[in-house]
Order: sequence, then C-alpha cells, then structure tokens
Amino acid sequence: MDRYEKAFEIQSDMKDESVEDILNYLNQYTVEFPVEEEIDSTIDVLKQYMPNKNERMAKFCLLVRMAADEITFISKTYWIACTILFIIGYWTTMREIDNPYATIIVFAPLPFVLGILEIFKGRDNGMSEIELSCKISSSEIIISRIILIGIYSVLMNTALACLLYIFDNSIDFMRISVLWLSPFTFISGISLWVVMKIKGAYVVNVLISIWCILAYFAFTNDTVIKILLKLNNAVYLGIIFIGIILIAFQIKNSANRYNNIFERGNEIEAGT
Amino acid sequence: MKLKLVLENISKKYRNKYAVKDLSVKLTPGVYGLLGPNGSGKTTLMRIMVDILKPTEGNVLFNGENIHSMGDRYRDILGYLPQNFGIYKNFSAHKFLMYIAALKGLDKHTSLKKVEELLEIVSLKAESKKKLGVFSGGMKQRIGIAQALLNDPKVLILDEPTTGLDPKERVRFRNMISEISRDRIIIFSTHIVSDIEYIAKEVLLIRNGKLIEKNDVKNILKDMEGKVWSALVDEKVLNELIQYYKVGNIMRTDKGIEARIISPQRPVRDAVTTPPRLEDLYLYYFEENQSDEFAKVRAL
Repeated sequence: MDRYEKAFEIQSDMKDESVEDILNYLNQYTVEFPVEEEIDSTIDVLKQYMPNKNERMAKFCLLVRMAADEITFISKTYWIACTILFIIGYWTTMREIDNPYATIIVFAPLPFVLGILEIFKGRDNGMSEIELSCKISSSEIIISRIILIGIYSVLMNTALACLLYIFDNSIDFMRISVLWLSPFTFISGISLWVVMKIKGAYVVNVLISIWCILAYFAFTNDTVIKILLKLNNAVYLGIIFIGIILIAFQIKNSANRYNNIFERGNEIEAGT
Repeated sequence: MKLKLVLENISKKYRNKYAVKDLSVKLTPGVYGLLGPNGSGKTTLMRIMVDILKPTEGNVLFNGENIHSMGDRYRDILGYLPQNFGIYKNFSAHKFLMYIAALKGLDKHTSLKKVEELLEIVSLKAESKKKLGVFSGGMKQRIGIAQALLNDPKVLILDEPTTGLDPKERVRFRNMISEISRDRIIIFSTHIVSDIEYIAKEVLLIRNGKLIEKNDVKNILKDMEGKVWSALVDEKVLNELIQYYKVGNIMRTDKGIEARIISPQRPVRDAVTTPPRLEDLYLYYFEENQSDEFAKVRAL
C-alpha cells in the first residue's frame, strides 16, 4: 500500500471514486528516483563545501605525530654530533670555574643551528617537488622537523642546565635558564631566517663560524662579558621574545604550500 | 564512477610571460603522451596538474571537483615523478621508499608490502639495502618511478620518466605503464617519441604553452600521410633540402644519401612518399630552425 492510499484510508466516508481521482492526480507529480551514479557524483561535488571540524588542531596533532615519526629519518650523524656537543658542553662548563654561565651561552644555540641541516635537507637535496606532491607536503615536513629539532635542543640545554645546577651549588637555576634561552631563541630565529633566504648546506657552517667568532671575541673581553652577563632580566626576556617571534614568523612562512621555488618563477619554461 | 581530469582554460603567467596559455583538455583513464619541445610549457602544465603550482587563470577538476579544494584527498590518488628530482644520498632504496610512503600517509604494514612489491617491479630488490648515493642514473629513475606508484594512484603524472633508462628498462617501463593504465589516468611527457608511439591512447602536442593537437596516434599519423618523403640524393641536393625543408633521418649508403623529408609537396623529383612515424610528426610541428642547426654541426 503506498503512502497516499494510507493517508486516505482514514477518510472512510469518502467515496472510492473520489479517492481514485485524487490518487491519479497526485501520481502526476511522482519524482523519478535518481540513479546511484548521479547520487554519488552529487555527493562528490558537494564534499568540497563541507566544513572541516577543528582542521587546525588536527593538522597540529598530525605535525607532532610526524615529528615523532621523523626521528628515524633524521641522520645518525646529527644525533651523534649533538651528544658529543653535550659532553663537551658539560665538561667545559664544569672546568670553567670562574664563569660557567658564559660557556652555556656559547653552546646553547648550536644543537638547533646544526639541526637546520636536517630541517632543510629535502630542499637542499632537490626533494621538494616530490615532497610537495605528497599528502604531507614539504612545508609540513619542515615544520615537523623544526618541532623535533627544537624540542630536542631545548631538552639538551635543559639537561645541561640541570646537571650544572646539581653538581655546582653556586649556580642559580633560573638565571642559567634565562641565559641559555636568550641566545638559543635569538640565534635560532636569525639562523632560520637566513636559511629560508639562502639555500645550501654551507650556510649553516657560515652561521656556526660567525657565532663562534663572535663568542670568542665577546668572552675574551672582560668588559663585554660582564655587560652581557649582568643585563637587566627584562632585556633577556626581550631577546627571548624577539627570538620566539622570529621563529614563529619563519614557521608561518614555511606553512604556505605554494611558497616554493616554482611559484617564484625561477624555472620559467616558455615565453609567448 | 569513470575517472575524469578536466583542465579548464588553464593559463600560467610569470611576470609578463605566459608559460601556459588558455589550455583546456579533458582526460579519462588511459595513457596520454605529452609531446613538445623544451620550453613549451610541459613541466609547468604538469606542476599545475599536481597542484604544486597555482594557475594564473583556470581550474583543474578531478571528477568535477577543483583539485585545490580537494587538497589531501587529491594527493591520496596522485602519483608524481618530476623531471629533475633529488634523493637523500644517505638513505637506502628501501628506506627512501618507506619515507615517501610515510609522506603519502600509508600505514607501516601497507608501506612494507608495497615497497617490497615495487622494488621487485623496478628490479631493485637486490639493491634495496644499498645507499642511493651509489645508484646510477637509471637506477635513480627507477626509484623515482617506484615512489610515484606507492599509493596506487588514480592519476599518475610522469615528467620525462624514461630519461636515463636503457632500452631494456624502457621496454619494461612501457609494458608496466600499459598494464596499469586500464583504470588510471596516466600523463607522461618525453622526448623519446617511440615511448609514446607504443602505449599512448592519445597524444597531446603542446607548443608555446598552447595545446595544438589532441588525438590518437593513428589519427595524427593519418593526417601526416603524404607529407613524409624519402629520396636518394647527393651532397649538393641534400644541402638545398636542409635549407628549404624539414629533414629527418639522413643515411649515407653506397648508392648515395637517403634522406627523409617532411613537406606537404614533393621536395625533389625522385622523392617517394613513405609511411609517417611519430618522429616525423615531431619534426613537422616543432622543428623550426633546422638549417641553422645543420649549419652549426657542419661548421664543427
């Protein structure tokens, strides 16, 4: 029994003929049910207008998960270099009886700056085009590596600060934390900015060399070292803030999937 | 649903130069050969189809949906081999493919299975533990082909995939593409016209960023009938032919010089028509300054 018949069943006082007339009249308006293929195609077309729930949050979680997965793809040389750096850092700081703070300042940015080689190795090895065509694009890979190398560098520096604090009673934990965080964030931010502009692994070597030369001149001069270590806390916090802004800005720039070498027109093919 | 990739009035402008201009084409499952000289806009067009380059105008639609709006859903069904691609020299072939599989969002179990399968297909199983840094050009190219196939793509875009492959590898590659083309859209560009001749459902001829012809090989060659000539000439006549016509193969025999000439009219009295090949078509459409090229060669 179809729904029209059901609806009219209750009108028992109506004559059968009238019901029949109405049914015939309504049947003119019967809509053909579309075929399966048409329904699928309509759904496919409309999918693009469906809002994505918490897309940003999901993307961030994905990047963090990716950063964890990236561990196996980061070169062993980097992990070994950082471990050696950590041992040298600890050993030198403990020997620097007069001023352990100065040594940690010099060592703090090095794990991250070294890690830049790993962060941009896809771009420097000509892998960008393949990576861009993947579900996880090269920009997302870069961000996940920044997260991974950043977290690792913070852990290394925190561990070094903790060790120094445990084994040297004269060290103020808060002070040493602020002192390593300032060059770490600032130099990392500057380095990222430079590497985003200039392609090539040699840039990292140049940056490390410049930092070491500057550190050498600063810390062999008593006046400079005193000024650097006795700045107002607000100045250190200011440097940390600028560093964080610089890093955030570079991450934002990396996030643009189309901000790549092809879009800048470096490889123009035709001219008409 | 039948797959459909539609390019609607695609243009790409760099500063004041057009790399691709107002190009429209509809692609369905099968192999499409993209043929054009250097600088014709092939790579730009492919990058637009891969969605790593935004067109200045126009849209690319996959089954009616803009590929840019599709985002990750499009990348799920896309395989791409760029013309010049780098590799991580310290990665082994296996690790490299596992890495790309991770970027394509495949789970570990599927990745392992697929990587093993593809290493077998591209004949690199024995070298799977070797570092990519020691691979030859052909081996790198095979790894490139393997990575493009990792996610079993519905749209496969290959930019000069046969570069660096030896003849045996090229035949293997052609057969493989032919086998998988039934339910996929495969677009590949090449300078080696014979690659297209054997497997392409249709040929897209592109010049100065514009699509000048889209047809199957048979029909295109049919249009060329009566335009390809063969003649036995001497050195003097050959020089004249080179000046005024497009000359293909030149073979020196005991009887004289056998030249293949592309021309709508009979170029010399003794010339006879010969069945056209895709190579002749390439010369017909794209070779413009041949006499200059010959002059350079002869001056050496």
